[in-house]
Amino acid sequence: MNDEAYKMFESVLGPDNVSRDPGLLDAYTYQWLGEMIGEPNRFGPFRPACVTLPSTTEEVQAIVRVCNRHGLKFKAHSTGWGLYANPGEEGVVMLDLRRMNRLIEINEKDMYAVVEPYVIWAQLQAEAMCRGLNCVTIGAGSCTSALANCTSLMGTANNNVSMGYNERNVLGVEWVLPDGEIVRLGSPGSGAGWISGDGPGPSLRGIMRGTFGALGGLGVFTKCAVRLYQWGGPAELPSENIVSMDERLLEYPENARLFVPYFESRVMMEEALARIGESEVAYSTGLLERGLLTLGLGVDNLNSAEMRESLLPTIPKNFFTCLLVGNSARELEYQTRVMNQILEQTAGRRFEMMEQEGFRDIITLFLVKGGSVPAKAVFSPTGSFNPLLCGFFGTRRTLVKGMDDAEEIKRKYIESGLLADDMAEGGWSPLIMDHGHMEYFEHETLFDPHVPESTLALIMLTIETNQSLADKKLMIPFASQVKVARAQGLSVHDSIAAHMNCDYRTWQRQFKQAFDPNDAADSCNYITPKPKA
Amino acid sequence: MALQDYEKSMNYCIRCSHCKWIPFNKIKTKRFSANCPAISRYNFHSYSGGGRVAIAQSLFLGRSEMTDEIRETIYRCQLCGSCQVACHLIGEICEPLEIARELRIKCVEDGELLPEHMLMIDGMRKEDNPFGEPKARRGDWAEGLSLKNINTDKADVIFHAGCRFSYDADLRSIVRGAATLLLKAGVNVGIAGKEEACCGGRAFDVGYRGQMENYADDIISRIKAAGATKLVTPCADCYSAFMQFYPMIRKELDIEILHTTEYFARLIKEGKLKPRGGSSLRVTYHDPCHLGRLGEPYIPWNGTWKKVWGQLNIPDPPKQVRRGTGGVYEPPREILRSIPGIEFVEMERIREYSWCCGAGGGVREAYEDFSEWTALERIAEAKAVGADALVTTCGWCERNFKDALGKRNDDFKVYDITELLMGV
Ligand SMILES: Cc1cc2nc3c(=O)[nH]c(=O)nc-3n(C[C@H](O)[C@H](O)[C@H](O)COP(=O)(O)OP(=O)(O)OC[C@H]3O[C@@H](n4cnc5c(N)ncnc54)[C@H](O)[C@@H]3O)c2cc1C
Ligand code: SF4
Ligand code: SF4
Repeated sequence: MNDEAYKMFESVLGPDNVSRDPGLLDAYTYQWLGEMIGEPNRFGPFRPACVTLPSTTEEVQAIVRVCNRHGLKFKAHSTGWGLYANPGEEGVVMLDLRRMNRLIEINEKDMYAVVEPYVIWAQLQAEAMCRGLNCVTIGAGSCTSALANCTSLMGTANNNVSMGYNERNVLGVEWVLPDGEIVRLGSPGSGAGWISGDGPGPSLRGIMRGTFGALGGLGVFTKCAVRLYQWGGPAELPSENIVSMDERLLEYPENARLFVPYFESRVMMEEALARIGESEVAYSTGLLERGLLTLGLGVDNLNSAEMRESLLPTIPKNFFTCLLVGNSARELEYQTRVMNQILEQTAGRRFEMMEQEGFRDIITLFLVKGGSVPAKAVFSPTGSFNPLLCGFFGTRRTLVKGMDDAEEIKRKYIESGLLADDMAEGGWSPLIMDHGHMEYFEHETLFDPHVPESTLALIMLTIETNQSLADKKLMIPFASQVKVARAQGLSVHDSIAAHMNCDYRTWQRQFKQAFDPNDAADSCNYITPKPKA
Repeated sequence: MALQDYEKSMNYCIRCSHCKWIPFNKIKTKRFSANCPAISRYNFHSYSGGGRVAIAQSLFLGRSEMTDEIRETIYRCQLCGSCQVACHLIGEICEPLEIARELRIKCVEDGELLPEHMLMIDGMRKEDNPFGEPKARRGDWAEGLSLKNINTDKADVIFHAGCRFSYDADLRSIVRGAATLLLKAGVNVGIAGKEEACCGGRAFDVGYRGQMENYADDIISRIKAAGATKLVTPCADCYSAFMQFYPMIRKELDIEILHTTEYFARLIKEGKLKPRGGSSLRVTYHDPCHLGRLGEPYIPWNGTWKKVWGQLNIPDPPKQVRRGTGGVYEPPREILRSIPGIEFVEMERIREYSWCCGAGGGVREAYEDFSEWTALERIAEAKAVGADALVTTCGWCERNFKDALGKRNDDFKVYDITELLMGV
């Protein structure tokens, strides 16, 4: 790369915090889903030009300015998991924000925390819980960045039902724009603390992230405030053992209760979910369809293979898990009565095996914390997964259509033997968002990254599913499409917009051009300033 | 084994960063949530378990070449194994620790050596210990203890002192104390004295596999000749070499192997040893990596991966998933709870996910500042739980903690569990 620019990085950061060693850069090229756009050995197609490790907003600003001056593209990542975090072309300068790891404040009274990019959900949650507060730890597990999730990518989690989608949970934000200008959104923009994302001070929430996020295509977020919520459970959930089904809570929290209901049909299941959302009694809800549950939760793959063989036939098809957490025994009793009534109205029955110690403990931990269980379930069996319908926000009934559609299409790919055989029942999802005005579902699909035909089957299945959704005038799920679009060398929004009611790209491009006049922020997962040839 | 034997493993890192943290459900505070000294100190992803897998894959595929920066990265790691424990919560094929070790073996094969490690190996070659101290003085620590000499007499128990305890004058009371406790409990115990050699674990850790093979052969023949039933060592490093490394290179010691804490706990239960106790003390316990996760018995595997249920990968025959759960965790805790006057409190990072003392993997020898920094992180954790002293059961850990404290004139106390048993 340009020597002059590199020297400037060294002078800003110190030589220990910048590198262009090819082997070191390869650690930033190797990636989950590298196999979809690169080689079956996990290396994506583009090695960064260099990696920088800034520790302050000012250092981030200086790097961004050097990039603008030298015509270099840059891309920031927080914990850097997944192909979204890798460069989209040759010559990109990476900002690894690992050194920006301060939990600046937990404001107990106003219930928010101010974090830098490298504070992970697990850290924030541990610090919040011991203060009687909690946050939305996402399904990816606890190892991802709270800031990145809130500002730049998605926000779906089992506990969205009680705390909302993380798009709404981001309050004040500090943002280094792609040209190096620093802006503060919401109340910090007028020096009024971090409590609000929408004023007094500028509110650009829609531009900053919209529903899915700009995935690094609009500059670098350096601080944000994350909303915290009341937590009625204990300060800690101590457990013994560390592995999946072996982990046991030392004591089941007295103000918590796990329900695992099942239903005759998806329509009835959805009806129950909608009522649970409306009644505002649930702390966390989660779907873990039986194919994924058995393949993914064994203490090792051999154990999972046994569970797939012998346990799966005993598990009903349409079930979900729901955790109630009361602030008092009386509240928990009220929640329980409401749940029982909803199950009566929707002919739901309780799947007792999952409500008993063993499953109960790991499901409870998973519904509160995320932890490692979701990642284990999807990665351990085959080494890789990709969700169908990732980003499928449905309304009543469209969710069921999406679920049915994905299942039917997937079944024939399963028969080919190129994917893990979950009987096309690999769903994971929070199901209810924000008290039920929206519903969410993902269909996890497990493939082997080291078997090119398996990866190809995954790509073809995703394309076919998304096309089918488009044909039915249903939403094309952004986070599934972004990966197949990249695998096909397309721009994601170009591949989605054609199926939408309006061409939103016109506005989106104008924002990109206005905020990023030199096209410095790598937009491989966002919108390019000009249509791709 | 060589890097190519990990070809499959290198394809299955998912870049998830679990290897940078203790198990998430165990995190109590942000301050003590990290598990890997290397990434915590040097920050580039390449320093983590996953980063090492990517480096190995890159070198293996010829995408990049060895450089000074990569060699530094490879050696700035204690091989403490914490990354692998965390990694194996979400998978089983990727083995970051074994790959990190193979990178060193490759370095040695390719002549990419560190002078500090060469010095250590030189000492081993000449004097059978990593310090280059005279072999003839190895048994001096036992003078006057009336222990049997296993080179000439039969004994039930071979007591293997290890290099650190044999030569470190500051730690002499510990090794003498341990042997004395065994004698008091009526154990028929002998030592090899000046004939005892290094276990070779430290050589293996810095990439000199052949050096360790020689030592393994030496110990195997000594055990046979002595006709003993147990091999007991106060050194966690030696324990790990016997339990983990020797089976890894397919050298089996046909004898029951015990760390002194395991044996002491057993003797206490049998009423043969009575903990003395001393003044009242609030202590916390540091699980040495080599006694805990790296002390887990290693089960060799020569199988293949096969597919069931479409693409589900399963090992054939069954393969141990190394998560450190089979390490020695309870005996030291049992001992601490049995000592009158001792109040025992746990730190946040314990057992399989304990934080390393900083001394391992050749780091103490080659990167003193990193080694010290790692030790100070642990001491900060011990202080944070209000302990008066940090207790451990490994000479290397104790040495490293003491040195880090000494440089700062910090009089925070560090004890070996044997000292508490004897009544400090
Ligand atoms: C296996 C897996 C499962 C997932 N499941 C879920 C889920 O259930 N729910 C959900 O909401 N999300 C999910 N995600 C996506 C998730 O939102 C992000 O991975 C995570 O929250 C973002 O944190 P990160 O540290 O991983 O971000 P990174 O991987 O570091 O970055 C993610 C994207 O955001 C950009 N970015 C990161 N930090 C910054 C910053 N400071 N400034 C500007 N841009 C930035 C990056 O360029 C990249 O495009 C999943 C991801 C993975 C890998
Ligand atoms: S080594 Fe294991 S834990 Fe670390 S990134 Fe790779 S898969 Fe994840
Ligand atoms: S062995 Fe220890 S120091 Fe080395 S990468 Fe793994 S956790 Fe880090």
